[in-house]
Amino acid sequence: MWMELFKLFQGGDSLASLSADFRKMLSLVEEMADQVRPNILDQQVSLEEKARIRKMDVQVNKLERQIRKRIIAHVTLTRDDVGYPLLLMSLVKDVERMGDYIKNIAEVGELGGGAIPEGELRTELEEIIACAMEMMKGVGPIMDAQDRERAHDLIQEGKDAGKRCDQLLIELAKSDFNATQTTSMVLLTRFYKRLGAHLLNILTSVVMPLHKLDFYDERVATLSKE
Amino acid sequence: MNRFSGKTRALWPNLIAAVALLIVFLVGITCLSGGIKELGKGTMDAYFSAGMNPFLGLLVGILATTLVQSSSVTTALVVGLVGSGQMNVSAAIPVIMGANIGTTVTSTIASLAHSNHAGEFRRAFAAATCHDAFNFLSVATLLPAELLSRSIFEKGFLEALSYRLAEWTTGATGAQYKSPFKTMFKTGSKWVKSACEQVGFEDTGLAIAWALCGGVLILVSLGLIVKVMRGPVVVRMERYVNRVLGAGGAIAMMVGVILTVMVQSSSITTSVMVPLAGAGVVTLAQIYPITLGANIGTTVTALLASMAVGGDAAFAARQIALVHLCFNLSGILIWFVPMRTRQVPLGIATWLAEFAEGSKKRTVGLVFSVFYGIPALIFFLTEVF
Repeated sequence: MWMELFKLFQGGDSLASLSADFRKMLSLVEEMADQVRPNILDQQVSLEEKARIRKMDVQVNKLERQIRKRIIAHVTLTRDDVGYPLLLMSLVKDVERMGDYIKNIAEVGELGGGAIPEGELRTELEEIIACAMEMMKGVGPIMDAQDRERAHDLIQEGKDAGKRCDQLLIELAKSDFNATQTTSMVLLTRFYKRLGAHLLNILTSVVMPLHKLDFYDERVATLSKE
Repeated sequence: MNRFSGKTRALWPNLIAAVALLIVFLVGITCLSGGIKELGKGTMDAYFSAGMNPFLGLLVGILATTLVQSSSVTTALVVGLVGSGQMNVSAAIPVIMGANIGTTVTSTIASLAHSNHAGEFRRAFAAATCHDAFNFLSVATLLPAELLSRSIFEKGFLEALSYRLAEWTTGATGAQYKSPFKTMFKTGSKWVKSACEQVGFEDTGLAIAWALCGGVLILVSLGLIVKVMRGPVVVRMERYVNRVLGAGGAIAMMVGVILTVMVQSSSITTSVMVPLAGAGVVTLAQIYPITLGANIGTTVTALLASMAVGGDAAFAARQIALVHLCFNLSGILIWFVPMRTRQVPLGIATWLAEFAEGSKKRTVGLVFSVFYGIPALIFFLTEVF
């Protein structure tokens, strides 16, 4: 009992610990994406890997709820530092959605998706996935360092990757892929595009003012950059 | 994300300030007690006689506490009055009970801030009124028990219990022990008295001015303690929600005690919980033991005040301070410890919140009738019949 009460007098900034838990969420989704990546195009994700990914997704969801609860407690009690808690409230939703999409990616085979054959379309999708992974690995350090330059670069890369996803689907419609291959291609392209979109949302928090979070306006971003 | 260093402001500057203010508070008690004592024994018999209608005492306690928004001030004043010999313990017991009820008005008023959002208001109002429900139930059971036992055994059970405890505590510390702290409070009080003399007060005027200065010192010092300690209490409440919530009723109660002792105000502890309940971060069942802890924590003020009182009535001052503690502990034994009775105040709070939801007028009417209407009606009935 005394240990529990001692916790009231232990130090630690609540915002700093919220920040640390947000980074934990990001690391978890990154780990999930790393696990699913090597075998996804051949639909060789094992049952154990899928179970592990689902377990990690549950952890991400739990962290989201915990962070939100603590944000509400912080804002309700202190009534200051409102900007950062509001930002975090939105960002945790993006990370939670990313977790869901990675879980969906792992489950494409269960939805009837088959292995994607070698060729231009597969290579293009591999590059899109590589771009999403680069963004995912970059977002944490960028937020830690509040690196605006790198954030601008990644946002640009992410926007380009989104356009490539749309183009890939147009090319797919013209291809002679069978139903299972098309299912995989369409779903994976869609899910990775959404993953990239949520990463873009997180990156906008570095370059855009709070009220324009999720919306990248190059003019505003450049102004704030200057 | 690395914009936060993880460092927090140290607690000790606030603690030092609070201890300094506590000394001022105790000097205030000494002034109050000394001033009233100089007025002469029996001056206030007309107001605080032993035969005073206990419901009048209850009303006085409620009104005084709602006026100053602090049961600590009321109980400290009662200790001062008892310590000066102007009020006896029997007459003071209902006032102490009234102070317990009056202190819950603050958190009830705080819950009205949520009245624009139905669900939020229901949760916040229930959280605030569980404190009310507990205090009313405790008074409803313990005041009749006190009066009944007084009529049978000449001494009420709270009076007898506190007497034993006062005997035991003064025996442990030595009733005649010259505390260096008491000397310090007396010296401070003498300074205040000589300042009043220099202003030109004499005889009865001097005694009144001395007592009034004591009252002002009590009010100001307790108000400033709240100001100084509110920040650290809020930080610890946040840590409680983040790290300790769900650890059990006993720990929640201890948290209530600690935070209330820190800030010397149960109103602050309970009012801080109300918005958390409104936001749905904590549940009514989680708040209830903290509220009870706050009730115990607030008794420390009266106990501290009794330490500053010297002379013949020092024992009575200690005794009335212990009455406050015994009353709250007895209330907890009845309305918290048994699982069945624990549900009663929670049920009342939930029902009141459902009743109040959706109408501000009805809520304000409810608050006024519960806090002032019912005690006034009982007083009226006991006077007439």
